[in-house]
Amino acid sequence: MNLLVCITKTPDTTAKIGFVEDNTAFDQSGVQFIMNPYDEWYALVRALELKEAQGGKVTLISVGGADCDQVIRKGLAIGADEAVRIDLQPADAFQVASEIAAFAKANQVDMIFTGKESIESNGSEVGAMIAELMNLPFLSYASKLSLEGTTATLELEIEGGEETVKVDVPFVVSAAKGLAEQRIPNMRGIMMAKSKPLQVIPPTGVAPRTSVSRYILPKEKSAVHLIDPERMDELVRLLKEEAKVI
Amino acid sequence: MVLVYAESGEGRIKKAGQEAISFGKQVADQIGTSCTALILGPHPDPSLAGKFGADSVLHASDPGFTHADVQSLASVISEIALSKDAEYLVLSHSSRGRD
Repeated sequence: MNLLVCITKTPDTTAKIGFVEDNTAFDQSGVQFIMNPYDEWYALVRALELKEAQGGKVTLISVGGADCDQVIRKGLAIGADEAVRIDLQPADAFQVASEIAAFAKANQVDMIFTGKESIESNGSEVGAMIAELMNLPFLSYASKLSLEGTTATLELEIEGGEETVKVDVPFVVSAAKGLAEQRIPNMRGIMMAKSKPLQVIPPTGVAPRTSVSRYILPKEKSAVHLIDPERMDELVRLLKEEAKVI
Repeated sequence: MVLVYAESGEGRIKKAGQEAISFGKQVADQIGTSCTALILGPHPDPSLAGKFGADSVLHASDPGFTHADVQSLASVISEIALSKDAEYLVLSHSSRGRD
């Protein structure tokens, strides 16, 4: 079973968010990057569990520059067998998906894992795009995945509940909370990761389809007004004059 | 034309679908065109889409859409968008829309 796990780097959740270049680019100065948690905690670990149970190989794939190598090495330390980095600073999700799909088409892959979203853009786009580009089934927001032979049973998060589906390999799946338990790389894993193969390959040259016009920060949340329950007239006045919602 | 996939079920247009229509109408007004809501699957009153801003509604009532897999839905929506020369296609940021 060949399992391909897509990983990306994201700013640490404590990073101070700012923009440069006339608000068209993220200000990376002083920002600590981590592996996207949905990729690391759920997608990668479930792929490793499947490999450990049934044999096979887990390959990491990332689209980015050499600045991604740190998170790729962490994935190798957690247990992936090898890694591929497509040497491109991607401009949009379509470019990422196209590059990964091109690699996956050229290499016999049984399952492609992504996180359900990256915590920086919350786009949830790459998995669906890879599936479409490869004409494969796409199972999103998977919280459980079991495999019997070449048929997988998945529980997917949907509005108001869960959906259980069966699908034959190959397919693309996006991983949500519950799919696996986070693994912390141990010293042996960290040492072994240094000698595991990390292949850097050139991009195919697919152009992006979107560009960023500008980023803006969300409005700061205003302080909470506590109103005495006896002063309903004051509550009504604030809702009417300040919040302007009535 | 702005085409909006209006998620529906249990005889109503879902909240995500209502918001998508409303947003689609805003986009349509900005570019000076019309907003068309697309409802797939049985629905007792597709004209309800007008309440949220749709200028017209396309309704495919086949019950098969109710439990259709996302690939089939995506294929149908894509075909309709292309055949109607939609300039924009609006989908909800819901689990179905993200699929």
